[in-house]
Amino acid sequence: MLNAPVTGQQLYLGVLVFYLFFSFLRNTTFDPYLGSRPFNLASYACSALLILKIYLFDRYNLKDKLIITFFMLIAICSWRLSTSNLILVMAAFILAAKDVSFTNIIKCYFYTTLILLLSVMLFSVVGIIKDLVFVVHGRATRYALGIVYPTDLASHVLYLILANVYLKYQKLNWHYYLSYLVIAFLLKLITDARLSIICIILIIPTVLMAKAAEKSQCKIVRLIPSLYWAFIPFLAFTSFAGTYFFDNTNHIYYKIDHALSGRLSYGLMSMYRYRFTWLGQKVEETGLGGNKGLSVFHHGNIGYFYIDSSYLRLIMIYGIIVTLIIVGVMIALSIRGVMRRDYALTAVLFIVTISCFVEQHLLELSYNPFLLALLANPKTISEVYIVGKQKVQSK
Amino acid sequence: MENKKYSLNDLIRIIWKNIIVIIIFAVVGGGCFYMLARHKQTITYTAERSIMISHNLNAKRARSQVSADLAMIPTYEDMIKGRQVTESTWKSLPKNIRKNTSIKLLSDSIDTNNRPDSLIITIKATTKDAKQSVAFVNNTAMAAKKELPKMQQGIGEVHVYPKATLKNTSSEKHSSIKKWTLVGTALGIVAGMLISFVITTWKHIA
Repeated sequence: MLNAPVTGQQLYLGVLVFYLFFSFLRNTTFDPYLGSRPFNLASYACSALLILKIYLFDRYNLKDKLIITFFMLIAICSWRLSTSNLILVMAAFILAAKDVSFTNIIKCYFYTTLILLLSVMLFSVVGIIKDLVFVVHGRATRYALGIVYPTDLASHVLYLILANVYLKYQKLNWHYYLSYLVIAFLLKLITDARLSIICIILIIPTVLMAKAAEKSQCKIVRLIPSLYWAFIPFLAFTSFAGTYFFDNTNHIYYKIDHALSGRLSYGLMSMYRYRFTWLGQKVEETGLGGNKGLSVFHHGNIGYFYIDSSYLRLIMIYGIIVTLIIVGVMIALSIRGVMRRDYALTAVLFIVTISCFVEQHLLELSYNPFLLALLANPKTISEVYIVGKQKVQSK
Repeated sequence: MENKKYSLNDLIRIIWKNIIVIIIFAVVGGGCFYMLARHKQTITYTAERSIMISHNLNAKRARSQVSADLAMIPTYEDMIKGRQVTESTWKSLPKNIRKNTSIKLLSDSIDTNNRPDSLIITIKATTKDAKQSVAFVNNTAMAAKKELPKMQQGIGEVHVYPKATLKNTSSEKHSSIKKWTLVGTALGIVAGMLISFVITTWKHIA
């Protein structure tokens, strides 16, 4: 076994774990010790290895190779223009996923992120790294437990639960649902992150409806989960138009903006400061996360500027073409799940869609690994292994 | 569905159908809001007439008199906008003008303007009707000439500049046609998405 040559899947999963490690630590209070350099170097090394996999390991015909090269070039252009390498890494991981079992990808993601999250929490509780605490008058005290910001901690937990839902989809029962609710409750006490908690609770009806649709012959029961995909373009457009027409003098708009912690006004500010581009631009942001963010937070949010909605980030930072492609990928994944009567990914993507309406984690692999399903093999590893064996035997 | 198979051409056809439905809704939505905004747009006409309030510069204390006059300008402006002048103006307005308006509208439409270190007060009347604006501003200037000396003794001479005419009124369009058309288009896209996506899902996916 040790003498066997490295397969494309092994290479891919190895690169995935390696990248997850660095990108996860980038979002923790370890970051001041590491700096952005190791993260950036890891990003480029991973992208290079994955591109190597596409051209050396994956057997594509010429036409497919050209299509993949075309999309890779778009990602490279957007990376150079926006100076954010998230798009490059995400594109490389999506395009290099051929013949890699998607279940294995999610398993790798789940265990790596879970171990990292638990150890970061432990380190912060013990006091080796900082535990940032945010106190807002009128709201509960929010702990980040070693992550840069409380809502990011909540998002990590949300996406871990989603990975768990995907992996255990067939076995899900009230034990799982109850434990998700308990986690949501704990998360509410620790981080007070409203959106992620709503999303965790929303998982239960979403999955129940998807499960009902799987068995049912009634078309109306099947219609609801089949419509999950429609939320992707709908919410993407709504977050764009809702921000574009934001008017602070409108009573209803003002209340919505207040409920979203001023996200609409910051979104509109981004549209005043920057124009719309096809392939992206550099957007200077100052968030509340990390040590630097905490000092902004303690000075009355002066200088704070951050685009939260993933869809708006796609449009403003990565450009209109990249937005259309990513939204298209999400729609394709969601519809494909329904067509194959395999609703697990569709249900998970529905929650991702809602989470991304307010939060920024769509392109961050340490949060969202579900876009990698596009070219990955939907079968489990054992099936791939058996099919491979049969092929060898038939030869 | 297991038994439904779609070729690439089918997919492209379905996607195009959706896009066309959404575009139709966008155009209809944008068109409706455009018509509404046009219907709602208003044009206002502003007529101007100036007055100057000063004392004889040949007098011995001319310099201090000019300073006093300058210091009084804001008070004069308030007096012109005040109730006494307004009521006097209202009485002097011809009947055909008075028929279509009210004393409150007259009071709201009058504004004054003055440059620093100038003794000239420019009176402005802004209404939706050019004739009305002209009548308002001319009569207010004449009423000011009549009433101000009654209100403040030793005010000096109130010199009224030539009458405002229909020709030298300025007009301004108040509308946000572009904004409302865009809002309508956006709402149309949202409605189009809702309808076309539900239909597509019902026909092809569920």
